[in-house]
Amino acid sequence: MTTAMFTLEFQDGTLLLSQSGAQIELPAELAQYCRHDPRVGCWRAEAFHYAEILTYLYQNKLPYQDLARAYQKLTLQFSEQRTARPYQQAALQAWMKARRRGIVVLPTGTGKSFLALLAILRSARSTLVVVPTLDLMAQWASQLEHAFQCPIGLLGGGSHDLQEICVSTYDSAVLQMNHIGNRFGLMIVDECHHLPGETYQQLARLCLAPYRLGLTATPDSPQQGNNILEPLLGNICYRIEIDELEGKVLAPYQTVTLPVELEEDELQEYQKNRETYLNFLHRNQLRLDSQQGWSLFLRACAQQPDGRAAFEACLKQRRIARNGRGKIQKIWELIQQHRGDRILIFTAENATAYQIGEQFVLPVLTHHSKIAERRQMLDAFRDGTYPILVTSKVLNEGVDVPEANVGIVVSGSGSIREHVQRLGRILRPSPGKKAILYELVSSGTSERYVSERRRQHRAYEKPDSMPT
Amino acid sequence: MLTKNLIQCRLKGDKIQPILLDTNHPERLAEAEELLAIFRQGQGMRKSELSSLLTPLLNNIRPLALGKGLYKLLEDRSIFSNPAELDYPEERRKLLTLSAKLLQNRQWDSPDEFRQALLQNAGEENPLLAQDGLYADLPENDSLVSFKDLNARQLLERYNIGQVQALLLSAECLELRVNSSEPAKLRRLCKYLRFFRLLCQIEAGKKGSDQEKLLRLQIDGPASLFEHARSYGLQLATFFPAVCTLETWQLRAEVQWKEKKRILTLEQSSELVCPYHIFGAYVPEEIKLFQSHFKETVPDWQIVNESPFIRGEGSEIIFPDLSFKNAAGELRHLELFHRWHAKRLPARLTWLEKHPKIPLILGVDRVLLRNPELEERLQNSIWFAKSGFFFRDYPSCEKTRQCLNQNK
Repeated sequence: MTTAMFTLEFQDGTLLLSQSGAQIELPAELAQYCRHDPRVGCWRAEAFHYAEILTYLYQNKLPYQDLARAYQKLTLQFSEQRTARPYQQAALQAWMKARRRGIVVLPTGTGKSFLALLAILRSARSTLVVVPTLDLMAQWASQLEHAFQCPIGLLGGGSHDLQEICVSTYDSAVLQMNHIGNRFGLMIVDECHHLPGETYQQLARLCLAPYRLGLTATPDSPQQGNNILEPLLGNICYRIEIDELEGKVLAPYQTVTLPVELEEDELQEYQKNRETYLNFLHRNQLRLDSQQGWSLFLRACAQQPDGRAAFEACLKQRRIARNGRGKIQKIWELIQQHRGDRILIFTAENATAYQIGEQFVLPVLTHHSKIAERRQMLDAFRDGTYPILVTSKVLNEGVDVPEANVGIVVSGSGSIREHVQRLGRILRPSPGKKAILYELVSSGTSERYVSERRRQHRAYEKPDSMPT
Repeated sequence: MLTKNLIQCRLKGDKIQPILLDTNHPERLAEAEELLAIFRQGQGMRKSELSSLLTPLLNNIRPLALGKGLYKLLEDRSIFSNPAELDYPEERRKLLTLSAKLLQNRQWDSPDEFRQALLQNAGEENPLLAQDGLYADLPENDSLVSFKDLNARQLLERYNIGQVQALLLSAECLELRVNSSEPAKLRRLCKYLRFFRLLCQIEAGKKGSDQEKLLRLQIDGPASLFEHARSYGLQLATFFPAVCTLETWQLRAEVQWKEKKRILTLEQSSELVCPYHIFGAYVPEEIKLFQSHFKETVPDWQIVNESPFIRGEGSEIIFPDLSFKNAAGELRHLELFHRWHAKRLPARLTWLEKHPKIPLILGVDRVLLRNPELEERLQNSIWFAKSGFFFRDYPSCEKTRQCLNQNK
């Protein structure tokens, strides 16, 4: 009788594990990852279990042939002159110690991508970097090309160029991973707090890369999503916060909350609509701070005769609080006050961003901006041609605008993550730089509670001008 | 295709049913007709203008999600383009550079004072300084170039199909029961299954029983065994319209709905209509290439357009990939075995060895030889030596010809 031989193959984002020769019962350690697939007569596992399966076969000296892996060992030239900072060195060590699977939490502007370059260098395997936006894709590709002096593949934004080191958007990775999930030994997931989404987690599930590095400045709490991230990327293996690096690696900063009065007619309109909206909530015993709150509210609006009026009142009172005329005036004053500075203006909605852009003839960057113009605007902001840039959400994350030193949050959600990311945009250090983040809050409106909610992070635990 | 948030459905126990429209309902037809009329006459209109005409109509359609769904389907059939004759990005770059310079030069008492200065420098006629002129090339200002027309009933039919497709996007498996008395349509269905790389097990009803003509197709994707993997939902959804071309069918699917597994059942009485008139016209590229090359290089055999179903062992049904006929009128069928359905190969081989008169030849992807047992089985088969051949990815015409001639 011949010895049992295991064969591992990659098929459409899954692993097929078959046996030839003597058939032995699948060991429990392997069976926990596999299901028997009667359609093909062998065992099937999700591709992300590749490392565990292979390690078990290897450690237990079970004969196997690995036909699944299609990634390469690379010989890389590293032309980066920078040296790793102590915390980057520590993060790299922690990741290596965690068997090259884990999440590193570093604040924006502290060199997450340099850490990734070091991880690629040390792993020396075909690598896929997954990023949430096209801007980030271009930024990563240029850094990788500069560091390794080799062609960098791009997946997304109309490009389909597969290379040993490749950058992809999350969306393209989800679409392609069935076919390319065995081509990479290292997967780096930038802004990995997006990964737990139902669709995006597929990109990590369908890929067999044994080495995985997640990067984020704002991880979810364990209750929110890390229970999904842990099996896909590994645990948080290193973490350092904004306030620990302020004044050293990050620019010193100040956060200022500016109360803005609504004008009389706005206030009346706000109160009238808020009352309609709150009455509807109370009558239906709805709480919007519960997990299902918003969808229950929408359902109630669709079912009840006065639902539409309540829905419209909800939107109107929010619009008034977010975009009152006083805020527009305050933006103008801040622009005048910070002449010579590099200012980023953040809004919650595209419409407000364009309203500000039209009114003060300022460049506006949203997801509607075409790629070429987006690049031109970012370049002009970086070189100072445009000292002010208005944006809704596209600059919340990742895109490198180190020159910015003033942020004005006109409106936003109650998300702590969004607020911390916006602060991060202006903290890249440069000699003598002192950053300041303004937050405009309409007095006497629910915006105050939204503001309090999003400031519940240690980065904001410093005194500022918020009146008590 | 509709998206999940536009689905209208009813839940009862573990069952889920899309709320399908009565496509003969006069009120629904009238609503659809009104929406269509705006798109038909909307050529040249901006999206925002279209929206202002459509909003009152959409607000009157109950439920609101139905209006949104119909609008989505109509928008999918429209081509919009940016109407600007101006090179907006370039003109904007010039104006924003000027604006930035002015802002930096000095302190301005008011926004009005600043705007006056800008008008003087950029020219009063600069269209970008008109109201809402700076970003006039935004998507909502795109104008309707063309609209692929359809009638009101067709729109409602597409809405119904779209609802089912949106549910199937999160389907885990799909079971079809169909009547085998429509071989041409079934063949088309099977072609589509292969094209979308869906896995399918086909079983026939017992011979002699009243279910003899009933075929049961179990359809899913490779990753269907895993809780989180539904990456083949799109394939299932895109494949679904082909089912509606059949006269008699019953569908049962397990779909994920708000984190629970629900059962979706549909049948021909749902009156769903396949929206594609030439749904069966698509031929995958590799088959097209094979067909044209075969025609050029193998004069003694010709490819027959329609392959019959062959009853296999027990209740199994064999659907050949290709069928060939020679000048003498002899017919041969070819079944190909790729890696994703290799399991049935040993049993098929045994069955064919027992029934050598069945006019079927086999092509086997060389990748399957990685399995030493299967390799040994194939190498030792006298039947396979005469009636089978190996290929890589897709068979060559020459190998196929040799095998057809050997098998005569």
